[in-house]
Amino acid sequence: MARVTLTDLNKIYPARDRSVHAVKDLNLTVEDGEYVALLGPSGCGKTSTLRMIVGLEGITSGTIAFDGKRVNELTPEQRNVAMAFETYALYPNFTVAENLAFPLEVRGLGKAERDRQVARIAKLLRIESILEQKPAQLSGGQQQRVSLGRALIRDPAAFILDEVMSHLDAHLKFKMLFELKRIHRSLGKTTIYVTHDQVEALALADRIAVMSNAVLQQYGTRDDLYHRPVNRFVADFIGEPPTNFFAGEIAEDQEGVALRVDGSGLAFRPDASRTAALQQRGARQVTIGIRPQNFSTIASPGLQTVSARVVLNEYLGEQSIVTLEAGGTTFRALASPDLELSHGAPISLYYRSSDVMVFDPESETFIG
Amino acid sequence: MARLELQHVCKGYDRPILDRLSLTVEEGEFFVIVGPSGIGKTTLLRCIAGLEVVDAGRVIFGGRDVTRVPPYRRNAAMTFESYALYPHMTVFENIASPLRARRMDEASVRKAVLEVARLLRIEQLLDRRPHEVSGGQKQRTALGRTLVAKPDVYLLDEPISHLDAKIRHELRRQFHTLQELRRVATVYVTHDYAEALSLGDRIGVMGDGGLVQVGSSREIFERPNSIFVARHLGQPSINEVPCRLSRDGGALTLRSLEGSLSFAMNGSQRTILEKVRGDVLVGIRPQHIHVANGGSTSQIDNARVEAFEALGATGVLIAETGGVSLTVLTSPEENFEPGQPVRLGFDVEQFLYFDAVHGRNLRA
Repeated sequence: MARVTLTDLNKIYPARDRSVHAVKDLNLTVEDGEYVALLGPSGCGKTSTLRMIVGLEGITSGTIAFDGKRVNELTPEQRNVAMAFETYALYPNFTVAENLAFPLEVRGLGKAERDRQVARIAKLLRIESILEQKPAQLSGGQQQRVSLGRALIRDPAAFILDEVMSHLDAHLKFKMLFELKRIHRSLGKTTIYVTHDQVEALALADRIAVMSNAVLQQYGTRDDLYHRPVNRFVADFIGEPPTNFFAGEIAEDQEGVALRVDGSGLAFRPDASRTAALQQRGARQVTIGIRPQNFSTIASPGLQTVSARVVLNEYLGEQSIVTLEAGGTTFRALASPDLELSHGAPISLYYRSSDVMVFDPESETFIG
Repeated sequence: MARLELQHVCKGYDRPILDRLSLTVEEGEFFVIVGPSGIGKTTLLRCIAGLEVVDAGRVIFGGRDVTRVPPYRRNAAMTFESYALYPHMTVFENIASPLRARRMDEASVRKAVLEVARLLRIEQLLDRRPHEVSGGQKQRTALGRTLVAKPDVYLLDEPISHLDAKIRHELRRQFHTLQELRRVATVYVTHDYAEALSLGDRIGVMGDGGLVQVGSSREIFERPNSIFVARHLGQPSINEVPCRLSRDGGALTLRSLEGSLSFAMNGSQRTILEKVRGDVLVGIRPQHIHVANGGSTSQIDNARVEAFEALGATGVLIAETGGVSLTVLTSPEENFEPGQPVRLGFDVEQFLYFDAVHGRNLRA
């Protein structure tokens, strides 16, 4: 198993008119046994990064090391990294057992050892009952497991999983989330998981590397990304329904520091621990961010409040997304599905001042 | 003028897909069809559009029988899951295409396209070609082309499922506010139950052969008529606990067939189950179980954590109690370690009860 280190990694795709800088000065360490997600919108550079780690793509500059040993010049085979893809790529004429055994057969392992390994992986993935079937007879979820099994069976230095769940329907995806986590727990191997889906990344990974425009924006735990996003991009990208952002300014009144939303009567109270940092800034203009789930319709001690009117109540079964309007500004809040909120109804919302995020409107960096 | 009726529509290939399906979508109504993939949702839309010939039954637009009318004379506008934009045409020309086909004059075309583009916030993209715009913008272009046609019936096939979460939220809001859609009948197909619940004035859940339940969002989510409907709506899925009823003196108790979980039935629960013979499939939504920290009136059992995942706005806990593994919806801010003991509180009043053999809701 291996610790994977990327140092000053760059990837440039040269082109006659305009070359593309796909990965810029990337520094990232995945500890031995760690589960790390590379997350970002399409075109952010995550797939290029992954292909460089595996050895499918040349490195323009920088170093990739496994356990401190430079692997830039090694072939994919020599790097011994196992990769599972979005598409299953199973051999249609082989049974599940034969598909699983194939990578071992290629490496010249004997029949007895192959059978032993296939049995071990089948048990881990809970696919013992389908070993004699052909891929065409399997459901999408089963095919995904077999494909995963073929990556796992090689005992590689690291696993790379590339958008492995994007084809699965929501129910199946949900089950696989728990499966993947259980498998990782029992194997404890270094895993790099590439996805554009934040739910998958947040649920599975120990740490998440958020990329945008070829640049690593933030590398941290779920808690870091949620509560201490380094910039507006991360705060916006992480979280569903999307984070509410308001253009506003720092003001002071008899109760202390307030963040007034431009052109509306709406104001938010920042956390006391952050007011000093806010007041020290020269500029008074800020971008205010607050997540829909950080609003509550129930008052309790220590919570701040804002008043708004209901524009739209989307009942979603487990919860409702309420679109609200206050002084010409609209925003969203999550609410209990049991609330019957009709259009135009006045409502009081409560929030913790520690959940209010403040960003610099120019640089978009997190202030506090 | 724009009411849509289907009367006993049948359509099959190697198996029956629509089996005597009848449905009325009123003028101004937004009707959503939700169901698993491959169940026949798109086939139903294509039958309404006339792209498929029905085997039997009638399709009626605003009182006019169009069953034998070819698609281009039906005045229905359909969006396709794949957008189906003309790659060599600009966004403007793509939106304008149905009007060009009608030989509308240039000034009117321009006016209509600009109006729709403004509504969908794609005015600044009108000169670009499809490959120069994002997925969400392509989707809005396809939608613009549908809206500009001012048809009698809108048919929308998974129009937002392939877009990322942020754009989905934005477009969902637009569907709620587009007045044009309130003028006519709209049939919207999706596999995403949240989209269906959010958008549908009424929702039809599609199963084998046709619609297995039609109702408002709350009706189909809170009062599903079968375990099939209950299973299809909700993430994570509803907990299903097969139980046996036992009567001991005056007490009525549900005991799980596997393990030793049991629930005492009181009040309205009793009334539903009193006359039931045989086994009962108990359906418990993950949000109707909570991690109890004292002071709850509902039933509480000791349990052990099996797994926990913090997702976006929710957390999902899998815990075992009395030999039964249950999924519980929690706050994402919680943290549970496998093996950790927890106490689970049950909102027994919210349980759903299904016939163990046929899966019918026993309350219905």
